[in-house]
Amino acid sequence: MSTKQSRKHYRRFYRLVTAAVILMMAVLTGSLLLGDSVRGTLVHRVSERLGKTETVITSGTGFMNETLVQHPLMKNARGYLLMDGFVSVGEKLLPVYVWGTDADTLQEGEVMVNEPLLTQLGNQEDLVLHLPSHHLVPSGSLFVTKSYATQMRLHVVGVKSVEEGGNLLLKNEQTLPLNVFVNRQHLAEKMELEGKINMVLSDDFIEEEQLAACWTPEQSGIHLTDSTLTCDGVFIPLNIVEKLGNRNEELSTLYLSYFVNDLIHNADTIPYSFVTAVNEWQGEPLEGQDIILSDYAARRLHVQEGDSVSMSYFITRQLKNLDTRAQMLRVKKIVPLASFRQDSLLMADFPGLTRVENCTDWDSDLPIDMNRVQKEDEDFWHTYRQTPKAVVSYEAVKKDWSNAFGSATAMRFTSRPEVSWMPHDADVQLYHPRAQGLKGAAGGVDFAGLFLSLGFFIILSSVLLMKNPLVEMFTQRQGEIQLYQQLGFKDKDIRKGLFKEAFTVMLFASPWGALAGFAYSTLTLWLLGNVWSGATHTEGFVLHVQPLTLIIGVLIGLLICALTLWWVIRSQLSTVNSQFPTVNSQLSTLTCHLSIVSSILLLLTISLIVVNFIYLHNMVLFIVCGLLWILTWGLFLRREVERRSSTMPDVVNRKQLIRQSVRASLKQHLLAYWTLSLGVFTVFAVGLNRPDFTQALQATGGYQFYVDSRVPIQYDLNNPSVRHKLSLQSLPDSTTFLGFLRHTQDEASCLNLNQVSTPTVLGVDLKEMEAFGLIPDSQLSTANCQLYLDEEALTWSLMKSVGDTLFYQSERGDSVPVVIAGTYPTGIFHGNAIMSSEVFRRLWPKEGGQEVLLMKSSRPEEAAEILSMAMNEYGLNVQTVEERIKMFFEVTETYLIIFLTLGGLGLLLGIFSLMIIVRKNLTAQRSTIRQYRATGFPEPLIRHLLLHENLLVPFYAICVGAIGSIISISANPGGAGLTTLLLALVVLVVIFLLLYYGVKYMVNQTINNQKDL
Amino acid sequence: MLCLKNITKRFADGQRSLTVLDHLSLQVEEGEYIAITGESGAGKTTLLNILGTLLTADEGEYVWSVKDNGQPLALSPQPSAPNMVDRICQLRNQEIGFVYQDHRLLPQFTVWQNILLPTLATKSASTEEEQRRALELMEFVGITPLKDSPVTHLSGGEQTRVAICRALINQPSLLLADEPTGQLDAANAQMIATLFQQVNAQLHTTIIMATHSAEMAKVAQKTYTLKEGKLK
Repeated sequence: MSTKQSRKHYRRFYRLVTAAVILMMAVLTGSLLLGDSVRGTLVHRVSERLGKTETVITSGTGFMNETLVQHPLMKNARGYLLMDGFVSVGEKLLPVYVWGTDADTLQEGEVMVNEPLLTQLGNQEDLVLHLPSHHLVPSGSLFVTKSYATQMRLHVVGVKSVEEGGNLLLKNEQTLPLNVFVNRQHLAEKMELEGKINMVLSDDFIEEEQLAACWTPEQSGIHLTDSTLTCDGVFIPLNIVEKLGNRNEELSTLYLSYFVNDLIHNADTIPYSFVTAVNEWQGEPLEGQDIILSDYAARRLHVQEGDSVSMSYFITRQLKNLDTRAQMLRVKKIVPLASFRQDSLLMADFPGLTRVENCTDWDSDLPIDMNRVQKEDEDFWHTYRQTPKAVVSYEAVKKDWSNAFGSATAMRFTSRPEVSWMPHDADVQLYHPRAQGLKGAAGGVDFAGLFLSLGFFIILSSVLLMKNPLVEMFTQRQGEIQLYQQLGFKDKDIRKGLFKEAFTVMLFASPWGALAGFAYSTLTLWLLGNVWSGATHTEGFVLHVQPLTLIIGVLIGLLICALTLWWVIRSQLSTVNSQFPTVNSQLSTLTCHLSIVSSILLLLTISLIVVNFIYLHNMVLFIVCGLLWILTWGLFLRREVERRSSTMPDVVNRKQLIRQSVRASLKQHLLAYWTLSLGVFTVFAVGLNRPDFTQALQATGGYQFYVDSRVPIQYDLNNPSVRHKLSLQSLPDSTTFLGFLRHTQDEASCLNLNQVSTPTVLGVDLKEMEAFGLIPDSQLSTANCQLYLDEEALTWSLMKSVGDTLFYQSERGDSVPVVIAGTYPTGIFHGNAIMSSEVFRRLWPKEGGQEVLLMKSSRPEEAAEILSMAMNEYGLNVQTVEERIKMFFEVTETYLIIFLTLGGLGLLLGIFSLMIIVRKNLTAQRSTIRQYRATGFPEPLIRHLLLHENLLVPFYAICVGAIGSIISISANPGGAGLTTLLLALVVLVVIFLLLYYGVKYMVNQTINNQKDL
Repeated sequence: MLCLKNITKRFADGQRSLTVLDHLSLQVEEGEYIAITGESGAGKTTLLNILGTLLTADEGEYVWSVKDNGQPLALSPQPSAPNMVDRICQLRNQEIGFVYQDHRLLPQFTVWQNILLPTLATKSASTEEEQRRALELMEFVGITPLKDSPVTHLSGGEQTRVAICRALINQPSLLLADEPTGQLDAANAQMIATLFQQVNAQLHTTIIMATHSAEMAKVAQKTYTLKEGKLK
């Protein structure tokens, strides 16, 4: 057997086989390369966004001194003042990261932006940067100024390229950030944070122990002397209070300064005074209701030792809903005011309150009634400023006056405390973003698997395209095979010979296939970054080639080729002596069985469709119904062909001729039916089965707007006084808000291609979440930390399941295990973990502002407009819940469009391979055509008969498949949208036309070849 | 009935041209039974195909003078009259019957369907008259019990008889037979020879038969030998 000559002789078949192998290899290796490329791009993005950064040191909500980066360990480190801000471009608010940096020679009023932001800005050379006010005293505490946001007008002087760190981003995301770079010192001055930084990026890999060795409390603004401890942020972090309180030494004195509303005795009142709580005063312990008054206060209140004084003050638990509380205190002692002045620890420095010349200049978030401030109060202020008018027992007010930021404003010790300080005592935390980023990129969305599934039909069609010419060739060579058998060749040897002959062709085609794989992956990457960017929200995918992946792809492809070839050769050898199928007149039993089964199935299918349509609306059941539909009509087809062929009426007609011809090649026709009907069904059912927004929209608790605030909102917007304060009084009365605390971590929505380990957490009262489909597990104790995640984020972004544990870093620096207690339907909170606000506050007590709001109103559009305008300095992004849900569902939609496109291509390829079957049938019908001509059948009639014979089943299959797919989308018939429906219709028409003209062409060619007998 | 005058047919054989029929002439009268003998490759099948209008001659005249409104129908050179193709198809269907050596029965159909196949060339279903005629023909050739049998189940002789029935179903005036007994044993060949004689005698059908068999040629009224492209 000369395989070379055989290959040459049958080259027209081998050309098709080569094309099929190349196509299959292209999709196979291309998909694998795509996986590598997306992963490689994500890894590249990690390098791009981190630059040389190996270690990140942050100070939580607090700040560090810039001197930290002067330590020798920090020789390759840079200090930053990083803030979230936003820039308005036209009517759009662009959330930006504001990097206060020393690296560039930026002057006051100058700004550099990165390339993505420049693109968004267009020709805009000046920009107004909005920033949340950052003070040393956290804005969540009670005694801060009323301005929560500030602005900077800046001129764009340059663009920071990727190489220069323009795309610096510490979050595990592939989307390019919008960055602005300003001079750190100018930014610090604007925020009154001179000499402060809140982030250090180092090019060196720094261990925690190394940081601990170079860090001192002073660098976190904690001023420790031999006998005192104060803090830049006024409130001493709880860690430190506890750490010093737990010493086995005599307890230090705790100071907690507060701004009280009134000190009252009978008809005498002193409004708005500083009072400090201490646990002892000059060696004398203060207990219970003790108050030591300054002689100034005693004089104004006309009190003696032993008298009672009422002290009233504001308290707040959550947000800034103020309550007024009063305590009756007993005057233990009256001391000279000067003695209070001598102890500087009694006076805390609250911004807005302490650094003003007059009481009327107080800039406070508290509702201070200036009408109550008298001349004598102003006089006191001019002389003594924030000197307390009294001291009270620490224990008596500790609960009321403490907040998330601390329970003391100063400490005094009898001797310098000997403790080993750790950075996390002052919320200074260290992490290594590169390792996290690379882990996230490596575990990101598996595009290889995804595109292998999406391109499955192309691979399947390629196999058919490979198989059909092989079958046709071996059918033509049956005589040759018989001859080999007659000559004494063993079947095994014949198989081997034929295998060798064909596999060599496949082997030679495979490198071309791999090469085509490059083209396929390059094209797909381009499409993913442009036309299909809805699935990735990412541009600039770069081809990354891993030789091992290429080899694996080629090997898998060759294995598929070998198996297909072996199967074809085996089946050809086993049917080498087969005859034409014969007409069996005794088919009644089979026909009867087919009739019964198909009738029952039809009844069952229709019943299921009706029941599901009226009552259940279950998408999966509709898909099952669609499949049953195809099965039913497949059996009907078989039954019809068998039945009509088995009954022999005396009248012979053309339809009979067509049916008989169909039956003669029933196997091929049934193959065509199943391939086409299932192909059409799968492609269209998946392509048209758009995600149902209805369910997601129902789980919005009736809220109409999702509001994302760049500046944490510290108020309860449901409170009428707050609305008045924020100029929101014109909001319709029916307007209701639901606020969420937010601990920003990784984006876990489908927009992030990286694997996520800790998604962003939203804190809310879980009872409120029942309207969103989140049913809290009542069995779980709130003592443990649990969270809930939406189903998609849990499965795809985290690749976890319910019961698994995530580890979050608390503000105290502990790694806290948080159990995934359950899921909620994917909707407006997609990508966010939901946690009880109680647990949230335990983990991140300082993140007390609301960053996410839901709003509903009887006049929603009006309410949204009022909110946006009144709170424009908060950088609110107000979107309807429909818009937000659609944004997430767009990803799924894009993937479905990709599937529809690739599936459509696969289907067209499948049709092309079916043409080969048709061609084979027509070749086998040469004698029939000759006979038709000999008996005087006109050519149009012969053409008509042959066209009908070869198109009847494929057209029937396409119709059944298309109707099946319509059944499968009955759960959400309008979900696909007009464009997709039109696209599907066009694909369907193209399939019909392609089949019709392809078969017609082949019929004409066969008839023309028969003209000269 | 038909007249061939100076018919020439050439086939290309690679670079050279092979003349199969060389200025061949033949006059056939109604009711004649003509046998054409000759060596393999002499051009017998080509001649039958030209007579049966399946091939057109390169040169010469072929005129058919029966049943065409009394007017002779020139088939070669083919006039470019409108509907000429349809008229030729109609002529082939109504006036000419073919019997081939390999029968050319369609394996997907039954005996009955094969016989009635020619009736479907001009209409979508067979008529009762045609069915009655088919039964008569089957009886005539002795294959009535095989009516609903698949043709693949038949012997060579039976298949030839089905082919004869099919050729006669439209009552053609000319029956062309190309080696009808080529694959049959002597007994079957004899039976077919007798059958052809009966068809000619009882149905008055003109028969032109190409054969190698001297026995078959013997029963014909005229015998020609095709040699070097000419009938002798």
